[in-house]
Amino acid sequence: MSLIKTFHKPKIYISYIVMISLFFVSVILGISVGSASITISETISVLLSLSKWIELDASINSRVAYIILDIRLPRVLLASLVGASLAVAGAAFQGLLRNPLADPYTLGASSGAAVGAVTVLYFGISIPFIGILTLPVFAILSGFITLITVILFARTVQRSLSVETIILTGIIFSSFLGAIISLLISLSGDEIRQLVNWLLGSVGMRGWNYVYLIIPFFFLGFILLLAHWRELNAFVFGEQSAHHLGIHVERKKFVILFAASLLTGSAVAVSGTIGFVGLVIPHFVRIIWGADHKHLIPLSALVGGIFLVVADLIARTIISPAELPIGVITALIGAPVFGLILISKHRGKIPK
Amino acid sequence: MIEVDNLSGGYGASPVVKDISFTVEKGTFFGIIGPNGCGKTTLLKLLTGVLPNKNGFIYIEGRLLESYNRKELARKITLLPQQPEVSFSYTVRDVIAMGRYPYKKGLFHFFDETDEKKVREVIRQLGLEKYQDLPLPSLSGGEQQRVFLAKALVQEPSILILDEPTNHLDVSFQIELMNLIKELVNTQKVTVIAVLHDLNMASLYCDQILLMKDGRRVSINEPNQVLHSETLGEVYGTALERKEHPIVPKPLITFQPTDFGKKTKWNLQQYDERDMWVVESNIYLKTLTTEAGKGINWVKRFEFHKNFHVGLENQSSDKFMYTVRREIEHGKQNLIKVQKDNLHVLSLGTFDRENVLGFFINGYLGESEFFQIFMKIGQWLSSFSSPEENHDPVILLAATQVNSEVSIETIAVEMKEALIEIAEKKNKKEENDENLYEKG
Repeated sequence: MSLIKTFHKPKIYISYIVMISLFFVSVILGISVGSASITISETISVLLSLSKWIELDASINSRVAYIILDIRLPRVLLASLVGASLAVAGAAFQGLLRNPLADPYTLGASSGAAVGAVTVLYFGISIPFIGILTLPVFAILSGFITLITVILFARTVQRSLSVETIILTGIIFSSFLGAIISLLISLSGDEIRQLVNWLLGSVGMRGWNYVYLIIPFFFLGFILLLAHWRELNAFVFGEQSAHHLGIHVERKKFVILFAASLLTGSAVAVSGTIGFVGLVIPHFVRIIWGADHKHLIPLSALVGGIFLVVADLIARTIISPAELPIGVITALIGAPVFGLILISKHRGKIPK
Repeated sequence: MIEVDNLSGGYGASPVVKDISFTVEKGTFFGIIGPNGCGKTTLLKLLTGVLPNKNGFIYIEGRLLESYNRKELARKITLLPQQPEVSFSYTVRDVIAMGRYPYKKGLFHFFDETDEKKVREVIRQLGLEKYQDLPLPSLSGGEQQRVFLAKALVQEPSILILDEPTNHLDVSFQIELMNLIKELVNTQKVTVIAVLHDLNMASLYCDQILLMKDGRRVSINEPNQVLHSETLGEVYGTALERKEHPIVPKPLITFQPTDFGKKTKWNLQQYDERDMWVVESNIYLKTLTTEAGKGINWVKRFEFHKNFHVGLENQSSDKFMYTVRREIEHGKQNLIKVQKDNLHVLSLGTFDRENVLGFFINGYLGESEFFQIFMKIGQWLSSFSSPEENHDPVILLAATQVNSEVSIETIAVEMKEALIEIAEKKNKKEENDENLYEKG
């Protein structure tokens, strides 16, 4: 017994080391590859110069340093934060709702955020003092409002807030909000391309402001969910079962939903709607490392971050100098992968 | 210990559970039975604080249920549900370790020595060592239920609530699980409150049973007092029959299908084969015999073997087999048959000694009537024969149990007549034999 335990521990530590290394590799690749080609050693030395102890290599000109620090680095960081947010939110929604098909969109929070963002674009709203941040602030707020409405609605349907009621309510709201977005798109003229692009999702040309914007939300949501790994594990066995373990079901459910929609709302706000990350990444992580949320949440964050950095890399290089929306890449990769996961899961069940 | 006082509660405006009171002492196996929708599950939800109660009080170890916080309550009382469906795969050990949740405080709670020890202890206690690193879905239903029991036990509850725990399990797993739980009650003084569907399971394992109907208490007592045919029939709205368990002093509850007991034309064939006499009925006969090692059975075919050495290897419970004794092996066998309106009688033996006396009765005999008849036969036999030839034949009573309009008195009269007839036939034969003997 103890043998198996000691065998188990290094495996998970090694996994973390490997995944963190892969994350850094993907960041460096993401910075180096692009329309203006930059060597990997240039990237590394510029990144190292960020720490005050190491001087920037004199041979690197300021243009390269500018591209790395002000264009590529924020873009890559934003991609990884968005990917991590969506994957962690997906893992939490799936565990909480005991539904392998749940993802950040099931609750309608993402559609809500999208409506907020599209409204800003369509009406050209700009609030004084926050200026360029009008859109993300609107998106996060409307995402939260949608989430709270969904929960209140589900509560009036059924006081105990059962899994089925939440999912059904989420679907109703998503369809309704989707219709509003379609309405705004069909009414818009010149803005249409901007709107559609935003809806397809992108992490490009956002700058450091967006990175600063998502960071507090990401860490707040991530730490809240990580702190609730035991509760999430318990919810997988049903709400009643969680109750009998001594969990304040309604309170914990609310906290988890809040944290997950914080992640979803801020991710949608800074990058538009990027699909399939929240759905596919947690499944992928579960297949390799198991369903225990203690590891599922941090590993989903790492894998989600890597996945979106790579997806963004592909999106901006594959038809260079033009760019594909990143949502197209995640869907093109994510949908077939998810199909394969689904098939192998159900196939695996049959021989039992 | 748990005390329920005038409890009412449920989902909507009108309560499902109405005015229930009972006390369960520590170390008691307490069963709750009743038809679907009688409020059993709602009662469990009230007891575990899933639903708030409208009226009345629940005291857990002397303290009001509401005064416990969630984790405190989970250390006192927990529930083993019907098998939950799990969509993600955890190892057995991970699932069991989840049961330590109510002992953890703070934001990030980590496992310590005590947790580790408890988990290990329960795994060993339930014999789950070899499964502990397997993913839960790879286990069978019965094994999974044992894992969930282990998860409940690492919570160290003093009260364990079971909601139809053996649903969907094979009978062997049902018995195994119930034995395991009963053992916890006996050795660790865990109080168990179980909603059970199976009345026999409830009878055999519970110390006390609460019978509910329409959210109210019908009766509460030990199984022998609660499980009455009439009460159960009324509560469940169907005819139920109570029988006593052959070994355990507990009742068993059974029923009869509606098509049984319709008037069936009974016929009995008797024929002589080379090495046996055979009596064969077209329907099963409820058979009781004084032959050692045989109790009540339902039998269709009765074989009386002439050869002493015949093996009884092809026995089955629906066949009665009897081997006649050595003395009549060599041609001195004596078979007398008598038929009455509702009765066939068969006497088998030598001319001076009767070995088997079989009565095949077309009618219904209750248990007490079987015994009355045995006693009457004994009296008749001793009045027909002199004390020195007291030889106690094996008596076989077989009744169709279907045509119940024939009264037991009628049958007794016919039996007595038949016995007199047999005695006369025997005397005649004896005379004939003696004549033959004299002539020879």
